[in-house]
Amino acid sequence: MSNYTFTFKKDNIFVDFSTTDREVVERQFRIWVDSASDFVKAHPSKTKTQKTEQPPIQPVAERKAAEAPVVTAPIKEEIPAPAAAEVVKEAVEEAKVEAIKESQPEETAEVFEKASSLLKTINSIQDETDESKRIEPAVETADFGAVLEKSIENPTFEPSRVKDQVFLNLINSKETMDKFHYLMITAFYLSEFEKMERFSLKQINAKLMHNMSEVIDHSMLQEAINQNFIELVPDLTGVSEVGEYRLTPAGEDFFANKI
Amino acid sequence: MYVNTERKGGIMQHEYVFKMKKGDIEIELKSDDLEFVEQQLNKWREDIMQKG
Repeated sequence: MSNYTFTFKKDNIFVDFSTTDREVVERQFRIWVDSASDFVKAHPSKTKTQKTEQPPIQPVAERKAAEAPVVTAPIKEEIPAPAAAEVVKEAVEEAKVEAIKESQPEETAEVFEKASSLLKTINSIQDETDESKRIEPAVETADFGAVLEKSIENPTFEPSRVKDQVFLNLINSKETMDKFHYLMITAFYLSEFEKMERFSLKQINAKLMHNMSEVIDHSMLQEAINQNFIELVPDLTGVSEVGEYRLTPAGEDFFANKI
Repeated sequence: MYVNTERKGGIMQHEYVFKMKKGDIEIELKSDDLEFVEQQLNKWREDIMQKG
């Protein structure tokens, strides 16, 4: 059995009528709605005096609908009551139209006045914003030189801390901690992976330092040269300031089979 | 809100609950006498609507 509840609120008075008798609810609902509609027609001045409580700018139709007596009929189960719903809708629409007709000339002027003052405010804010934008470029230009000078004096550059995982994997694959082996592995890596035809001791140490915090001194490089694993590349130009080296076939064999 | 219904002699009996609250005052009327309840509804409706 469905239950029907009809509630009515006016000022501080709250009426609640509940029953399972659908016809009675429909009948009473219609009667109360009609009465509410008549009340609104008979007391338009009451809706006017309540305008000060409303927000400064609000569409007239919405405001009058909000001030009209509230009539609700929540139905707990989904059983259609089309007659009742239509009555409510008609009453509310009628109340809206009547309220608008009664008060439109005065309310319209007031709304226009408020809209116009709001527009003036918006325009004044926009003008101030435009002015501040005109000033800003000049300020930025003046500061740029100072900013540049400051950044030169206090460089914030930091070298990359990203390690070469491929190189590290190669090192780890040999499972060695011998520095001579590190030299040979690095030489092989620069030759084969980074496709360098020649490399310097500085480049070898850069790779080792960045990834493993290790360095090779020149004596160890000389040892590799003595064993014919690495050879010095002749400087045909005569202008090179650093010695450059390359991995020999024997060095490749050492890397592949001896480490 | 609750409503009791029961069948008496094969006819569905409805119960009607009318509640009214004004400020802190709340009254409730419960009955299965529809005529009586509707009279009360009409009376209170006129009373409320007259208080403009």
